[in-house]
Amino acid sequence: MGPATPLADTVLRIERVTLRFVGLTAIDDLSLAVRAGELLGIIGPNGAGKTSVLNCISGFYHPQAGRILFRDQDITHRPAHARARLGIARTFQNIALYPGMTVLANITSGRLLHMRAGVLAGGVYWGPAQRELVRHRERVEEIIDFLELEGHRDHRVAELAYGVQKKVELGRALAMEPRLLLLDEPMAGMTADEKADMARYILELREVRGIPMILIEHDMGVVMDLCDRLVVMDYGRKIAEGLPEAIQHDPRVIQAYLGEETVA
Amino acid sequence: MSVRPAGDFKTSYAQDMALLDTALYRIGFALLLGALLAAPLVLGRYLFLLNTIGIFALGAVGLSLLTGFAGQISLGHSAFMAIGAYASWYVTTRLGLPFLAALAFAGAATFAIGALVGLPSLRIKGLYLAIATMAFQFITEYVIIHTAGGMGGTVVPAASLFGFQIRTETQFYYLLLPIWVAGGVFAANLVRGRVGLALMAVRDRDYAAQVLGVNLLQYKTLAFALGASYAGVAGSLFAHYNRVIGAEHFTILQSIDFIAMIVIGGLASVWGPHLGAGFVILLNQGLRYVTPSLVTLLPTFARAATPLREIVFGALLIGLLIWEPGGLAMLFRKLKRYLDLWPFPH
Ligand SMILES: Nc1ncnc2c1ncn2[C@@H]1O[C@H](COP(=O)(O)OP(=O)(O)OP(=O)(O)O)[C@@H](O)[C@H]1O
Ligand SMILES: [Mg+2]
Repeated sequence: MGPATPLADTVLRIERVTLRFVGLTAIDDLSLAVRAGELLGIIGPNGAGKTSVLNCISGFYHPQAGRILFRDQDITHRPAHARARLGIARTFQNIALYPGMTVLANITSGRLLHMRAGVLAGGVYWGPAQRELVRHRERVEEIIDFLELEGHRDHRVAELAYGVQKKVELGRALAMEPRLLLLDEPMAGMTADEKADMARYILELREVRGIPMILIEHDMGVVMDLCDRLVVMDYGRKIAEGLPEAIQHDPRVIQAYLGEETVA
Repeated sequence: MSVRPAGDFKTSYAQDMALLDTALYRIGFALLLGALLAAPLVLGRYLFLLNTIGIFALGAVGLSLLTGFAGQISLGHSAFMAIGAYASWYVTTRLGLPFLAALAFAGAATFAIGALVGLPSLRIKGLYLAIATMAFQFITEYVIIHTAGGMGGTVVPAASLFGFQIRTETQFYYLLLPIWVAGGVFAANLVRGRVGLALMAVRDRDYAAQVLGVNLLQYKTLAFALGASYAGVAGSLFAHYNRVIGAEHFTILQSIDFIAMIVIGGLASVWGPHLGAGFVILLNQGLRYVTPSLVTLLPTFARAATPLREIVFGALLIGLLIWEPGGLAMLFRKLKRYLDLWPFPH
C-alpha cells in the first residue's frame, strides 16, 4: 500500500468501497485518499473501474460497502447535487455539455450553485438580480480568458471541435470554483497541441490555484509528467499506489498492462 | 448563435445582457407596445380576438416554461386553467373579494397545486408523464362536472377594479394588457437568469445538471408550479371575460391546443407562446368563419367540414415541424437576420 496519509490535509477519502453490478464487481474493496493541493492520477486498463470510482464520488453510483468522506464529512449517502454544492466538480469521459447552448451559457451554468436570485427577483430583473448576473458574467469571462476560448464565446457547443468541447467542459467545472476537481480522460481524442494546452491548464490549476484533482488518463506520458501520485486499478482492485517513477517499474503494473499497452 | 449588425458594440456586460440589447430591439418593442395600446381604435368589433389571444398567450407562456424550457410534457395544462377559473369564481362570489384578490389567489393556488402535480415528474418521464398529466386533466374535468354542475353551468361576475365594473371588450382589454405584458416580460427575464439556465440544464441533460448542483426535484416542481400558475392566472382572466365557465372550456382538447401553440410558436422561445397563441386562435376563428360558406358552396363538402379544423391543424403542425422546428419565433429571427444584413446577403 502507499504512504500513510495524515487526516489533517486529506480532502477526499475513500474507505473500502465495493461497487457491484449484476454479475460484476466494478470496484473491489478500494481505498484511496486525495490530499490538499494534490494531483492524483488513476490509471488502469479499460474496464478497470476508474470511471466508476468518479461516479461513486459524485454520487451517481451507490457502493454496496464502504464510505466516502469529503473534508471529513461522510458523503456516502448524499445526493449528487448536494455533493456538487460541497464543491466537487467533474468532467465526463464522453463530454456532457449542453450542445444547443453557447459556450458562454455552458460555462455560466457552472455558476448556478453560486447564484442566489430567487424566482421573483429573477423575473423582475431589477437591482440585485441584475447585479448578480453581471458579477457572474465577470467570473465566466475570466475562465474564458484562462482557457483561451474568446473566439468561441458565442458559438453553440455542437458546432465545436471535440478538443474545444473538452476545454469548455473543464471551463464549466472551473466556474463552480471547485474544492475538488475530477477529470475523466480530459485529453482523450485531442491533437498533440491540444493535449499540451490541456496539460498546461491542469498544471496551472494545481500550481497557482492549488485545486486538488483526480485525473484519469490513458496517455502514460501525460500521467507521469503531471501527477504527484498514482493509483493503479485492475478489475476493480487497487493493484499499486505510489510515486510515478516507482509505479513505472512496478511488476504488477507492467503485468496488468501486458497485452493492453506497455507502460512508457 | 446571434448575429448582430456590424458596428453594434457593447461597452459593458450589463448592456450586453439587457433583455432588449440593441437600439433596434428597444424601438421595435416600443412600437409593439404602442400598437397594442392603440389596438382597440383599429380593431373595433374584432377586439375580442386580441382579448382571447392575450388570455391564452398567458397560459401558453406557462406551458412554454414547463415544456419548452424545462422539458416536462403536460397534457393537463387546461386543468390548471380550470382551477384558476373556478378559484376566481369562488373568491369573487362566495368570499365577495375584489377581482385582483381573486386573480392573485388563482395564481397562488395553481402554483401550489402545480408543484404537487409535478412531484411525480422526478420518477416518471416522457410518455408516462404525459399519461399522468392526462389523468390529472380527466380527474379535474370529472370533479368540475360533479361539483360545479358541468356544461356552461357557472356564472362569473364581471371583473371590478376599485369599484369600477369592467364590462366592455375595450375595458377588459386595458385590464388584460398590463397583465399580459408583465407576464410575458417576467417569463422572459426568468429564463435568461438562474432559473432559466437551471431549467434548460435539467431539460437537456439531467445528470450534468446534478453535477452543477441543480436539485432536479426542486426545479422540476418549480417548473410545474410556474407553468400552472400562468394557466391559473389565464383561467381567472378567462372566467371574468367569458362570464360563464363550464367543463367544456377546459377539456383535454384545450390542453392539446396549448401544446400546439407552443410548438407552432417555438418551443424554447420567449416570443413563441405569444405568436403561437395568436396563430392558433386566429386559425380557429378563421376556420369557423370560412367553413359555413364552403359548405354552402360545395354541399358535398359538408361531411368533411366537421373535422376540417383538426385536419388543417394536423397538416400545419407536421409541415411546420418538418420545415422549421424552431417555430414561428425562429422564422421571425431568420427574417430579422436577413433584414439586418440586407442589402448585402452574407
Ligand atoms: N452502469 C453500469 N451498469 C453495469 N455495468 C457497469 C456500469 N458502469 C460500469 N460498468 C462496468 O463496470 C466496469 C468498470 O467500468 P468503468 O467505466 O468504471 O471502467 P474504466 O476504468 O473507466 O474504463 P475505461 O478506461 O474504458 O473508461 C466495466 O466492466 C463496466 O462494463
Ligand atoms: Mg472510464
